[in-house]
Amino acid sequence: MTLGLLDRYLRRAALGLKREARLHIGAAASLASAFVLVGIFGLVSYNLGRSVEAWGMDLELTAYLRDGATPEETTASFRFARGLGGVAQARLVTAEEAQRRLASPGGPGASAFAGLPSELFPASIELKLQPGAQVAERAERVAERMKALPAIEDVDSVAAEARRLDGVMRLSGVAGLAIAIVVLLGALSIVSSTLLVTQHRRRDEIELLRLCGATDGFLRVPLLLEGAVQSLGGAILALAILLGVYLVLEGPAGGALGALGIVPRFLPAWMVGLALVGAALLGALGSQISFRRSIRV
Amino acid sequence: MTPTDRRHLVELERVYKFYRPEVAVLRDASTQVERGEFVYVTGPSGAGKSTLLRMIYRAEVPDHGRILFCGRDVGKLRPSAVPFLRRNIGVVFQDFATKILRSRSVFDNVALALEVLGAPSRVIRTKVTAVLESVGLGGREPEIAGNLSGGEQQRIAIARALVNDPPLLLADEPTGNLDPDLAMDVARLFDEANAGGTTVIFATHDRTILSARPRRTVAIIDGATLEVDPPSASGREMPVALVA
Ligand SMILES: Nc1ncnc2c1ncn2[C@@H]1O[C@H](COP(=O)(O)OP(=O)(O)OP(=O)(O)O)[C@@H](O)[C@H]1O
Ligand SMILES: [Mg+2]
Repeated sequence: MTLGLLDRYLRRAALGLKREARLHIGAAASLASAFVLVGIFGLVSYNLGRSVEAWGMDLELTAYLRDGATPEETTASFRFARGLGGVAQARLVTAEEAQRRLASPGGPGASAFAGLPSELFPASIELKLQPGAQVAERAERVAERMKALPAIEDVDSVAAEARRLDGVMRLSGVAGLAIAIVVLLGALSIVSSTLLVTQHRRRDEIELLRLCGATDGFLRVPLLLEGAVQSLGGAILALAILLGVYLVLEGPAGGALGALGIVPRFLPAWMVGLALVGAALLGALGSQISFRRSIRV
Repeated sequence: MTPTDRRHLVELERVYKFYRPEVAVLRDASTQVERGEFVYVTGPSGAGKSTLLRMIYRAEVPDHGRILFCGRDVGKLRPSAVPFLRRNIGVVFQDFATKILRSRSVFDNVALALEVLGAPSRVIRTKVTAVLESVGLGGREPEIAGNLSGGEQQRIAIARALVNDPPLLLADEPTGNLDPDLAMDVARLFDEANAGGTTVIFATHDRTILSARPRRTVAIIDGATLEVDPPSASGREMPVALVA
């Protein structure tokens, strides 16, 4: 492609946008409302995902050692736990330490536990799981393997709780995806039908250009740019609306969520970037569809 | 390709064109146009003059026979190659008025023939200014094309066809609807282009033009092409002489 042609494409796209400014602005506004919907879901699932991940990060299993476990058995169990897949960290908590923890100043029942013999406190192995998805299954697997050890009495697992959270995540992911697909298909049809209208209005010019030797590319590239700009405009507007709403709600909602240990955050830069690129591609795709349906000479 | 072949810019080989079955607009039409030639295509209204020209720039495809441009079969071109054929052919359309973008400037209307080539803006400005000057529209660049008179719009169409110096110029009734003086002026523009080396195929049924500026003339009679003598200035019926 020559520089002259590139320059021409940009000029034609700019001219097209200018001549049909009202149509494009209207379409961008419709696109923005569609994108806001997707954005809300994105924002919610991003924050949900973040909190689950954070929660998964301090997800701990406690494997209690049997009372009569020998030091050898204890060490072997600890080694085994450390080597388990999906376990980030294993810590041996001796009976003395368990007592010390409970009796520490400020700890629960500080004075009540202080005088008791340490044998009354169960020794345990604390397992920290690696962060990531499917925390529930992994926790369950680890719990089962630990329970199978002779020196282990019982395993305190948060798997059930984790499973519930995983379920919520999966459900919201599926719902979000379904909504996103429907909305994005709608967006695609907005772009392609507006660009079909612009081409229809310009059909004399398009026919003339073809008769003067315009290639498909000459007609298509500026159109793709027009569609991309329209959709990008919609996406920028949507992000602005989303950010505005977020900033307004952050205060009141943040307090409520904070109580649940969730610190809300806006979409990170990479997601915003991805959304903008995606919107531009969607616009170009919509134009491409309209181009294939438009008149031929 | 023999040297004689190379002289021919356009060749029709036994061309048939049907818009309706059984009714051939062109029937076994054959002719050659040499490089640098000026040829009239004449015949009554509905004879198929426009159809013939449209097939040369591949707006129509012959049903039988071949049309060669520079030895290439135009009917067999892939769609993606058609733009490159058209860049070599300047066309002044019979319905030129509908081919003028009325809301755009005179400059834009002519410039688009260069824009499709990806010519740099500076080149476009220079060439458009020069060609508008040559058709008598010097200085009218910024005016809205729709505000110009019919004759002036016709000149815009001619300027557009000429602006990229195509080797072949097709003019379809370019003097239709113009008063006789204006028609002569417009016809002169094609003579000038031809004098500059451009091959011109000029479709007209305007006797005045044919007799005032006699050139080789091909008539379409009942769908077939016939070489005819130019009509005499006395205005007698056109003598038809078949050249086999
Ligand atoms: N697209 C088309 N579909 C059907 N019939 C057509 C089409 N184009 C032309 N025709 C018919 O073909 C015949 C030749 O038309 P054409 O336009 O080539 O004639 P012409 O010699 O240019 O006439 P004129 O001097 O009036 O311009 C006419 O009968 C016309 O009705
Ligand atoms: Mg005609």
